[in-house]
Amino acid sequence: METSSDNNLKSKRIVFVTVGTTSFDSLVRSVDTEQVKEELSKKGYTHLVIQMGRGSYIPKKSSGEDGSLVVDYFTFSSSIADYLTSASLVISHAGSGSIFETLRLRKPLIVVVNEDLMDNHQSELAEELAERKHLFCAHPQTLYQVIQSLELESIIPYHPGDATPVAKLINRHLGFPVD
Amino acid sequence: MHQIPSCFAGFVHTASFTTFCQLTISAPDIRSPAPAPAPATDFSFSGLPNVILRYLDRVFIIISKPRGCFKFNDGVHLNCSKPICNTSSKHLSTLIVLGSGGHTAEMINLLSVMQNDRFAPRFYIAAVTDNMSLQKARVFENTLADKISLQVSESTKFMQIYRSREVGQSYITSIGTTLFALCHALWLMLKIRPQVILCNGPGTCIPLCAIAFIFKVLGIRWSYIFYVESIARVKRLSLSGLLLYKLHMADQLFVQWPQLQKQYPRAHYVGRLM
Repeated sequence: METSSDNNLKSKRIVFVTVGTTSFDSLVRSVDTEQVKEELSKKGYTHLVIQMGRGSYIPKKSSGEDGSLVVDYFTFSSSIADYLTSASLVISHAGSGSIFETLRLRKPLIVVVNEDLMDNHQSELAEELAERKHLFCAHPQTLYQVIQSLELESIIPYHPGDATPVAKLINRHLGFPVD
Repeated sequence: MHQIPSCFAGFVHTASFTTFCQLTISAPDIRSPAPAPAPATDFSFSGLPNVILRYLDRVFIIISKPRGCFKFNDGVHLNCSKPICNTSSKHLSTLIVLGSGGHTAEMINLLSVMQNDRFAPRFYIAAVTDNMSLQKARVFENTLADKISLQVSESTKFMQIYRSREVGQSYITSIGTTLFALCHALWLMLKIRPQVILCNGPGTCIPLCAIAFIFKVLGIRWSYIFYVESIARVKRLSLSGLLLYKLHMADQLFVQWPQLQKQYPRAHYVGRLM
């Protein structure tokens, strides 16, 4: 494979997968398929790091000697931020915490919606932000297609919100002088 | 017995409700030692049933009026109410209900732009099972203290509350735990007696807000409730948000997406917290 020689020369390009505080086995399983790993490799990514939470599905570790992706995983870490910072692509569950942390770091993001959750309002946020082209939205079954058709150029950077107007209204309601 | 403060007028919007305002309602001092029994003795014998009757009247108005006719118009609200007299020189004890993960992050973003000298002392509450949120609140309070090179004020308190229902708990057992959670919430509210409640879901805030609302209606204590719906709610309000909205429990309810504000016209949309 041509990418194998490139891997050693080029700096690491890490794909970071995060499932948050719970478990999301269908995402980890989907990322761990040969199809997805090959596609990521084709796109020039060199490392795959999976934060798998409380999940029971254990992905296959790989040191990438045959030129394929280097795969590693862990359950939890207190420094998710470091992983996000070093990543070139983030594949995340649909929790708003991870989503906005990643967007603030201006990292390309694929949000995978967990269909097993009972009250699945989480997809609302991911779909809205995908419509506004701040990120890509996928389901565990469609992750492969989304990676295949990934166009990082189409991403519109997300401008963080501002809480000041809310604070102003609260102050006004309480009769505090507005400054 | 004190005359009802003028700020209470902001709560009153219909002619029949105005009489509610003319009733004398006790407003015990925040630091009075016996909070719960005091109001009961303060009501005159004929006064208490009156309050209840007026409240039922109000409930009836809400129920009987077709949707949208019951005016809790914010314009009116703001114009006719100077909610707290001379707030410029005051600070208000503030209860901050933390959700989890994303909810807490949103709340911290809001707190970081609030004038923290006005909203003091601050009481943080998170669910017993949530061990991250209070930690984040502590970090936030530490950064505030660093800014003004002070110790975190001793009056800032961090507390935990039992949840009425854990994820995945069965509905039958949740009746018992809900009752227990309500009692715990009542105990906390009596202890804290906040003047302002800030919350942004999830369900943890409901028992606290409900108790604050009942206190308000009974004239025991007036707390302003501000609810910011989570940014994750794009199309529909959460159950907590819906309850606070429909029952007029929140003084102001904020949503973070314009399309949601269109569905709930009494809500405010002034941008996102994240």
